[in-house]
Amino acid sequence: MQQLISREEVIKKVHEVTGEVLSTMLGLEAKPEAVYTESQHGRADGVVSFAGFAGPQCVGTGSMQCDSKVACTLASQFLMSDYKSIDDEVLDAFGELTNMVIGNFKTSLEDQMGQMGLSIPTVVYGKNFSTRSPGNEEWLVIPFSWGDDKLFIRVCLKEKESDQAVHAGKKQEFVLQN
Amino acid sequence: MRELIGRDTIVEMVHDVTGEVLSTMLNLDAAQDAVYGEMQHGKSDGVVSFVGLAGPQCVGTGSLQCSSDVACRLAGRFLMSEYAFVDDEVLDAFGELTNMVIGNFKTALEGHLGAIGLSIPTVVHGKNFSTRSPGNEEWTVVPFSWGDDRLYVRVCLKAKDSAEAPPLHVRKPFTTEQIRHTFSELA
Repeated sequence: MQQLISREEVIKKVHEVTGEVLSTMLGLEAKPEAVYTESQHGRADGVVSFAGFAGPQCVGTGSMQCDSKVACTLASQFLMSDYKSIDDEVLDAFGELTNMVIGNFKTSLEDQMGQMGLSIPTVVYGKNFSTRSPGNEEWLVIPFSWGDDKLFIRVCLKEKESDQAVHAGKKQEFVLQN
Repeated sequence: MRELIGRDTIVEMVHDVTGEVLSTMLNLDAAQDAVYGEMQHGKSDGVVSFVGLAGPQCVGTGSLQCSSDVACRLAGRFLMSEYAFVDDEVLDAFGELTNMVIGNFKTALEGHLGAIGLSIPTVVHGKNFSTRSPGNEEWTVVPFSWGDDRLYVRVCLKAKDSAEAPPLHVRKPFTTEQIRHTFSELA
């Protein structure tokens, strides 16, 4: 992906769109924290969302993650109500916020990558579940904090293969060695 | 989506591509069970994968789901090994199978809807977790079974115009009338 867009540009775009959404929609002044990379999400506890995007030059996934308490806080601010525990409304609000953050990130990418589409976000909630993506792509993790609360934005981008259609493939034939 | 593609066509595509992948890659002769629609996945136990679809006319998500035991058996067949419990290799294999099934579904869709991109799959594993997608789109669920094992292939598609990420909303400033009303209530 470094030929198409640098890591610094990706971080800058995520900082801008996330800061804007948190500030404008939720009245939150969140501080971006040190960025790091990871190969896999690993174990998660709380709420995680995923939204895929695809364009002529690249494909990727954006993700948001936080603990249950923070998800309730975000939903409460977003819906101007008070949520003490995770329910369908909290998860829907988290999905909508994902749509905004990753959607605006996708829009900002389009200047360099051409028009892209954003898939329907999925939100996962539970205790002690794992998330994993096949392959060796690296995820960029951009944390934000306000007070004791933290929100993690994760982005994974890769160049679109020339023929992305993955055919069923033929079963390998074994050759017996003499 | 009914204006763009009928549910029966979607089911037929899912049936064809899933059957082909299970048969060719895993040597499994799976039967398709009764198809149904659901608004949300709800509670899950085992392994679920998601991969996004995005094209000029529609966007969507494809998903595979099964129990942990079935995931181990699928990985065992795929990698020609044996797995007693879900580990990274099982999850990777499940992700690759998702890529194949939904990838081939995407290719079949392109015949009707033009070029569509496929995002990077994500696989989730755990006990008693919930999955949910915002909005009111219906998921088409196509179950497959072989012996006592079951695999659920889910697809949700919607027309792109309604799906595009909303432009960043700017909170409207309060009007003078609203401010007056608020202060009058406080007095």
